[in-house]
Amino acid sequence: MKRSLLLCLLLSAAVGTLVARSAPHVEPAQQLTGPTDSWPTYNGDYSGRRFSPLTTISATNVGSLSLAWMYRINLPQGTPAVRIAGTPLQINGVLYFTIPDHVWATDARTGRELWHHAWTSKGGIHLGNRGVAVAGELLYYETPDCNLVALDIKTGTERWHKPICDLDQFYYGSVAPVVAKNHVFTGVSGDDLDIPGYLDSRDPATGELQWRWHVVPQKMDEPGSDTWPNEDAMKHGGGMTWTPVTYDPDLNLVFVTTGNPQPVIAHKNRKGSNLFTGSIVALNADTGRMVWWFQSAPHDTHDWDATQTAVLFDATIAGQPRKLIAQASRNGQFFVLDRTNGKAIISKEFVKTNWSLGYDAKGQPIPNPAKEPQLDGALVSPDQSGAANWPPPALSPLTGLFYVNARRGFSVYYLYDPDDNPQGWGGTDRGGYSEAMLQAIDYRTGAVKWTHPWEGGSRAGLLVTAGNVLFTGGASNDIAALNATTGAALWHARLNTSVSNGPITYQLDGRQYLVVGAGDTLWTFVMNR
Amino acid sequence: MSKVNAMRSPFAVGFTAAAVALTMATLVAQGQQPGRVLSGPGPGDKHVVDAAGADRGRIVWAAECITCHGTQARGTDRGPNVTRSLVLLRDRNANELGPFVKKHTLQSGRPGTSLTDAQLLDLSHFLHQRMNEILGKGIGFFKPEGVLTGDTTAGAAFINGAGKCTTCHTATAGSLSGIGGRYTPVDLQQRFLFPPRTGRGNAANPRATVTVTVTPASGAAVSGVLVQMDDFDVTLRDAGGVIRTFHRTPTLKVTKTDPLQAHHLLLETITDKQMHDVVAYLASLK
Repeated sequence: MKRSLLLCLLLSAAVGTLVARSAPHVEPAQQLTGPTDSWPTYNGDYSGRRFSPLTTISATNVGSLSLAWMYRINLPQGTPAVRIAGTPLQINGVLYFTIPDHVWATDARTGRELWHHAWTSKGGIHLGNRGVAVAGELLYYETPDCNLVALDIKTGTERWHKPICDLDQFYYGSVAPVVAKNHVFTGVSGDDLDIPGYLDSRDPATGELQWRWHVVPQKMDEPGSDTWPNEDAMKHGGGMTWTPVTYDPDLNLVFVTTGNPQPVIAHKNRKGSNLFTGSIVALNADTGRMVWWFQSAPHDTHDWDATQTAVLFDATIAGQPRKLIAQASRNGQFFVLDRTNGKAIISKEFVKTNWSLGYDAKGQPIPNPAKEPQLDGALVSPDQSGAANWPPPALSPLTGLFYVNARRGFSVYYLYDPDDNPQGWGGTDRGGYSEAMLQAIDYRTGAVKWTHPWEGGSRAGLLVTAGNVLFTGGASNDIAALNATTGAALWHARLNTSVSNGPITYQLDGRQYLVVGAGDTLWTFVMNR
Repeated sequence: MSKVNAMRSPFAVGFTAAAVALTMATLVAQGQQPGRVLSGPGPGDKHVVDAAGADRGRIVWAAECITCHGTQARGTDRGPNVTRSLVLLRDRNANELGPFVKKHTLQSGRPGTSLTDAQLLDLSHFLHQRMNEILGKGIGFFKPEGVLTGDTTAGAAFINGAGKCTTCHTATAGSLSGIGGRYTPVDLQQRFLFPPRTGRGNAANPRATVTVTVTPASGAAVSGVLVQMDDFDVTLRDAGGVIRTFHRTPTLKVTKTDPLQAHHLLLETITDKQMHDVVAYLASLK
């Protein structure tokens, strides 16, 4: 028995080593507790909360933060999109961050560059890149010219690349992949020419396709096809997947948020709610089979992608412990759903809007046809950039609040193309007045507990910590810290330009670091001992 | 006038020429070869439209394709949409389109092989031009049309009544006289909803400039044009042009004045009908 036990232990150790070699960096992210000495996925963990359990930096001492180092990207003039719009990953003391076609590794303690990888592009929109995923010795990122590229994490040398979309059809890659189990989840971008969106699961070792979930149904007898007038409209119906997914290891569900239908503004040829665009969708991580869906933006006509991060958390609602998922959607609506079945618990505006007629039986908003784009214009709030957008929100289980940088904007939506079969956009909005604010939403009720206005505007991602500090970009090219409970301003530091990503934090050698991107520069602050 | 002919307007040609010129300038700046646009939508080696060729291709289209595929090449009951077909999307200078057309019968009953290589190239230019019009939101080709749908009399009543516009806009200050002759209807719509902060030539417009008054616990109040304000500091430019920054404390009183506040508040209450009525009235003030 003892020999058998020893053999089992040795075998277990051997298997453990193999697992460790293939996916050692994903393990921390599989927990819903938040990272401490690393930031191993886009959102820090799989939940999307951007909540750090670290407390070295706190609401009482954040004023003592000081600059640790800064790294400025040095690329030839004319390089497109030199702006850190992604979230860095930090693993084993190394930071990995991107702009389109470029990846860097720097020492997380000193900012010293370890390697730089540059991709020779064949085209595509170079708007922004959200970052990388890491599993084992490989790092993954998407390129604007539709490739998933795998690099050696130690050297930045390319191991392989796989096409994930069709550049000729005006797709492009921008989203940060997410690795869970033996899957790399990759989404696609592009709404220039009426193309269907999808989410891929790919083999971490080879990049080969494991499964593809099409956002819009492919045949008229498939679920959701009854929300489209015909197959042609459906198969050109859009629904891009350009925000990193979240994942529940216990339910083995991956949660994908989908973009607007296409044609984007003109909509005569896509009557119906246009499933599964503008939706939160739960998929089986191993098969891609859809388990449930909830449409945040039915029949969108305002370019309000509903791709905002779907944040996973557990809480007690009406005395019952619940597994929940929340989204502050671009159209100004805040939703809390049961993430086991997609049933709505809360549907409520997080800023005042003027485009909906209430909610249907599922808790989905009902669009007001009068506020669809018109030939002579329709005054709509929010405007095209939305009440929220790509900058990631945050959620703290300690304060019970969901945080989102919001805008209350107005613009006039015009229909340009009155054709019965419009294509592309067929219209847009113009003008606009807006106010920016950080909304702290009670996730048990949907009520806005407090609002922190940003004079002059701010649109940055968020980070919240157990030290009761909320970090984000402020209104004057600064990184700002607010009291996570009250919203009171605690500290700020002016940067070279406005914050362009979501801040992250990690603790190394007993020192807690805060890292934030602003334009072409990565700034790192530290709480010295 | 058909839509096909409408696309031959000087504006459309001018836009295409300007776009090509801009693209070339960008390429030179990036040290790349012409035809290799690497940072825009779609592939860097995309088809480059020759406007004259597209004009010739329009004639071929009208003679051999338009009946089934439509004036815009977006398809009819008799033929599929061409502008977003994979054949066209993969095509470069008729290398995909040409062999495809040659396999099919044209609307005249002639075989596709009867078209010359030059005609196929022209057809390729014409179809890529149609596709390019869709890209980039179509903003270069399509504009808001038909904005003047409101009731002039109702618009006048709103301006002089519920809109409270005459509180600020009088015969001697902010006069609306003749405004309909200075702006297009869509610009009138935009300007009354979202008035610009600056005037002609981007010059500061005192009637639209945000000002701030800072009053310390002890000492005189200081007023000026607001430069920047956040939770920690407020910066203004005083009447002498001096930039002054004050650290915000609980005892520092800060009062902001936005002369456009009435316009901002209007957005909360105005209906789309009232909006169209106001535009109609303003447009009538020639």
